[in-house]
Amino acid sequence: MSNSPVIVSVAGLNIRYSAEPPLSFSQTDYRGFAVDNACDITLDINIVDSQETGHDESDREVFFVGDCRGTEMPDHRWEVGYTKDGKEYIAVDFFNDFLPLNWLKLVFDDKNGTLYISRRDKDTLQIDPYIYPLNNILISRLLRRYNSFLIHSSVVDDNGKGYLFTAVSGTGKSTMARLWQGEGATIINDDMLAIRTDSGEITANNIPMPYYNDSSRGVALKGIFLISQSKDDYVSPISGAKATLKLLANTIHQPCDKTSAIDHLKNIELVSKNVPIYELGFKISNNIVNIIRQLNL
Amino acid sequence: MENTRFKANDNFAISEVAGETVIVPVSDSVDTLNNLFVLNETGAFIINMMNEGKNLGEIADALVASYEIDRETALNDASEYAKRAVERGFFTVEQ
Repeated sequence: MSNSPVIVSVAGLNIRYSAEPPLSFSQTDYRGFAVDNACDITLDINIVDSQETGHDESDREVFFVGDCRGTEMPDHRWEVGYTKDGKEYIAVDFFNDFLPLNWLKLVFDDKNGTLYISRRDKDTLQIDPYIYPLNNILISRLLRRYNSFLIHSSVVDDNGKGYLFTAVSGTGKSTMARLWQGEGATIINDDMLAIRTDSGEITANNIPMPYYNDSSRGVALKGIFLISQSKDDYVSPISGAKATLKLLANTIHQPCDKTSAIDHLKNIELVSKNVPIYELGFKISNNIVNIIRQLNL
Repeated sequence: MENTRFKANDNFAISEVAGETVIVPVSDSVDTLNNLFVLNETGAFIINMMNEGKNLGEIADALVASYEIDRETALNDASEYAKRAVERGFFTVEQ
């Protein structure tokens, strides 16, 4: 447990969570990402003892909605949009009575923001400020300001060379990461990565995630592989619009208008111009590691 | 038919990537984000003219000027492509 404020570093962005009066924060998902540096964004936390939802239909302009039920994570509905006074917000409603939270609402005020947390139980004071799914939505929104983005993928660090493997769920991202681990590489993350494009080189960085108990890591990206399981190993370079759109399909984004959709597309194009992209079929064996190493990326 | 014009809908954005014209979704939910399209040369030609507000007759004239086809074929091609673009929700018929 740690008292507020805490600073969490995610893909090089330092987010300061503060509360007045100070809160006790649980240190579940973000523990290995806590730092003592200057912060890029400050989020002031307000605890609200209300059972009601934090917003109604008339006081906001919604531009993106997500609904998540029946997974291993708590059922929830989330949205991003603008408040009636023009401030960007993220809201999450939980439907699970077992959770200590009713809803979360983060309202951005230029660079910083206020995080409203509605607790179900007045005695519950211990809160993970980096709670799912606010974590991913928040990071996605913040990365956009830095021409960067989230992508469903696994990434390994092979002696300073980062290799990214992306595909739809169940295709073998984690399996591929473990094959590399068996050959001496380090897994940066096997599910979701933050790609930074704004620091001179393209980097892949892990983010705090539920159940991972991870610490902050990143690597320069040298190769991107669109993977599928196959009875034979093969690797085939692709480029141009095809490569960009295939990569785009696995990224996390909320293209609320034409400008943001095209901005996101251009960020992906920047990555595909600077990092070679391949289609990769693989059997589950270490041979695929040798095939990729022989590409000398 | 020649005077038919089209209005681009807000749920898709047209852009250039690596020298090719692509259409990407602008969505308010995660369900439709994978509707990505790369257009061939003729498709890009027609879509870009539709996006500029040209009517089918003007698009057919431009096709005749740029490609070695007769006007009837050009008008049929433009009309057929526009029809598919409307069916996919990229454009609305404006008349």
